[in-house]
Amino acid sequence: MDKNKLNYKEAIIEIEDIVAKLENNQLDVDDLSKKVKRVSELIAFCKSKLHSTEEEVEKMLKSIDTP
Amino acid sequence: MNAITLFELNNQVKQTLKKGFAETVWITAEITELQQNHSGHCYLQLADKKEEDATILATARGTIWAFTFRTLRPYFETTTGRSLAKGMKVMLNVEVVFHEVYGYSLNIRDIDPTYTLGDLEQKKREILMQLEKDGIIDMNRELEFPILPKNIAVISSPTAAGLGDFMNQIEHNSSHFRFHVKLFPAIMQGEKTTESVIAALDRIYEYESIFDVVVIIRGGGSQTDLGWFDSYDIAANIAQFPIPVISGIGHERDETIADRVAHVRVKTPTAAATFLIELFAQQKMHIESLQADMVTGVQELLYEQKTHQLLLATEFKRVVTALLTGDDNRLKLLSKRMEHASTLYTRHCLNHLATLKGRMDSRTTLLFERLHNVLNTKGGEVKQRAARVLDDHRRRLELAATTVKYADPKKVLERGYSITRLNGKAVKQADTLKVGDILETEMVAGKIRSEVKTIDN
Repeated sequence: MDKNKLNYKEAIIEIEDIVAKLENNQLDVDDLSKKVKRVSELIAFCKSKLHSTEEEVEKMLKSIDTP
Repeated sequence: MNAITLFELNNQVKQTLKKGFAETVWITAEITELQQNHSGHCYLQLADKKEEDATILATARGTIWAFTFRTLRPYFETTTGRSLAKGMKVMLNVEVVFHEVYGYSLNIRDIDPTYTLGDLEQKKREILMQLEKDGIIDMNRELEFPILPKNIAVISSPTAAGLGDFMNQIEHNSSHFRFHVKLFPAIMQGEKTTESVIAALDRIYEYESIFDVVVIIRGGGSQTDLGWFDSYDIAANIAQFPIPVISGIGHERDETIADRVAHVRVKTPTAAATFLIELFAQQKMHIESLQADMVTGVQELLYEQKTHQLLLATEFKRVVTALLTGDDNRLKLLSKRMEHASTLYTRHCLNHLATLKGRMDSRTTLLFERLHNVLNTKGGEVKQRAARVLDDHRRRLELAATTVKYADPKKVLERGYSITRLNGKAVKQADTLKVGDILETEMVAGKIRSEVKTIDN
């Protein structure tokens, strides 16, 4: 879970980093397609975090007994 | 001895008190017990305590009759945001009553909520000061709020209408954001509130790593029973909780201590849900804007690169053209220079050749002349020398002829000499012969053969 929490944030930070580099002309054209692919993956990941539930988490929550 | 009955006594006390306390009196006291019966009357136990050690200095029973309570209660509650409760300090307008059976009591006629308010504020201030002194007041607020609070622990009464509002908002938000919500039931009203909420927090703490945020929801029930959220214990637990807490327990006007120490304070459970959805919406916008920036950035970069390439190509072309033009000029120049130079050279060569030819010619002539001369000279010499050689040879031939003439053996033979030969060879020494050899002797005229008889050396 920590990992997942971190992942969304990390993903956002990585996207921000790439976009910033892109905007500051620090991105190598040779790397561009790789970075574009990476960013679209990260964006898809982040969007899924917004819009889908995770079975794993649901299960974990169900397993918590509450009086 | 004249004795009076207890009733008479009590009645006298009653009358005396009535006379002595003809008017109502404003008193301050603390409510130590409070009970409302089915008919709407409110019974209280009042006490006066020593400020320093809470030693009880005085007690009294109090009653608010139903018809009074019906007006006093809302007045008190709307003013203070609290319902009358145990532990509360109140300022009451009382009528001193003595009943022969029930004894001394205070009939409460009016109440001054501002006193309670002041006291509550004072208490809250003290608790806040204590929290501050303990260094925990801002602990929860100082936690980093998760950028995407997806896993939510909810503390609420399972039956609270507010929980329904919250869940409805969270589960059916228009942007279709999805959350993971887990309810931790707690009692949110009355004496057990503090204990129950703390127990729920402890339970959540066991699953600390799962949850991003804790939402405490109260609502739907009485909006006035908030005093429990002003306790030091509940505040201290919330303040020190390691996950950010959103409190949705507040009153429209009033802020409880729990609200104060929570990371986020919202007025209603619906507002709590809206707050969380809004955070998701912000992230969505952020992602979309990043996506747009990325697309724009890539397009710009590619466009820039394209432009740059185009620029480079143009520049290259220009440079090359310039170079070519430059070379052409140079070539032209060179070829002209070459042409000029070769003409000169050719001329030079021709001149040189002419000179050489001239020199050759003169030399050849000279040579021929010299050779001619030489030949001329030598020719004479050869002639003379040949003549001389010829003369010489003639003389020598003449001499030889003479010599030969005199050397001819015939001549010798004529002079009486003969030649003795053995087997055709002239015999010059006697010892080359042996007895019995046949010798042939030639004379000027004729030959003889003779046999060797003896040899004398």
